[in-house]
Amino acid sequence: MRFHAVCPKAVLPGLALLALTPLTPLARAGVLYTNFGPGLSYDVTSGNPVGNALDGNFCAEGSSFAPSVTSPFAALLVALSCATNCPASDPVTIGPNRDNSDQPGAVLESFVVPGGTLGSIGNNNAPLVFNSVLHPLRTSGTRYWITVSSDLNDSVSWNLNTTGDVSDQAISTDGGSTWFSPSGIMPGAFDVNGTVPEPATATGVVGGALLISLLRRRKATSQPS
Amino acid sequence: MLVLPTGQVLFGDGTRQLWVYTPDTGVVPAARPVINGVTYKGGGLFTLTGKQINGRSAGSSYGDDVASDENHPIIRMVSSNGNVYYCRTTNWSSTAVAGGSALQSVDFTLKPGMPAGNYSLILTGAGIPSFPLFINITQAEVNGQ
Repeated sequence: MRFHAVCPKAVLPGLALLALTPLTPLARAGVLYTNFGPGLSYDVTSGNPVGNALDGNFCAEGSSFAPSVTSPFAALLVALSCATNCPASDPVTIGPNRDNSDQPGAVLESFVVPGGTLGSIGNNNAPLVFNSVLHPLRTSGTRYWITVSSDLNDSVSWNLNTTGDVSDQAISTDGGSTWFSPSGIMPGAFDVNGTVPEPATATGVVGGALLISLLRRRKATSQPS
Repeated sequence: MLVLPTGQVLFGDGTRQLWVYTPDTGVVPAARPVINGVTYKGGGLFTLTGKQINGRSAGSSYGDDVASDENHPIIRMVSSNGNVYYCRTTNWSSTAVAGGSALQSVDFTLKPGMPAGNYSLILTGAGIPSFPLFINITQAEVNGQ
């Protein structure tokens, strides 16, 4: 039995559309980049300073990454802790940024956490999780930054990774107005998740594309020459 | 003449008068020593790894009369209340200055009497301070366990 015998022309576009429609679940979270160790482990005892670094510097920190696949940004995990003073009223700002000549550039999305919610450095605090609302696209092979900044009332630690990640790290001593990169400093621990299509969804998309291709071919061959 | 860990210069002319010179410009970021990590080895001993931890020069000299070589790392810790503690460094992996990207290391012990807590650790090489690193010092480490 030939395909077109049971699929009239009027039905085929509908089937193709159905095949292109994402199935439930639409997608699953996939790791686009991580420098956490097994079990989301990181250096519990030391980290790069954010805010008041106690030496006269007003620090902000940035760590770069380049995803291996193109995907909408879904969530961010960051290992932050309180070093000495983190008032509840003072926000710590975390943002994925674009790259600007190997420095943090325009903010893509911004997350805020009150300093007072951070656990103390030296404890195995669970990484903070920030779910994306804007879902900016992460393009494969493109450099992005995760930045953490605060005010001078906070002394926050972005705990170091333990996996030997030496991706470019940026540091600012004026709260994030200007950056020095690559600093050579060990990046803080973080994890970037994207939205990766489920295999069933991907199969549907591929199937839909094939159907559309078939329809176009049939239309072309049925036209009088 | 001696380059101080603060980046200042202590100068004397042979009399009882001393001068302290404070630079009025910031540190060139690329000249800073880099701290890559600190690990506790037990027995009160820590190991710091980093780059150009001996600074970019030997410090200062005064003709053929005085050589105040400072081609070794100096480590200090600052607490939240501003107390400063200098640590004793040993086992320098190198005394070469301007080490570039080569990984270097140094062992250090805490200043006796220093309380456990959270500190900002700064390494100085010939007067040039690193960017700081926040570190948690436990009571067991203070006790040398």
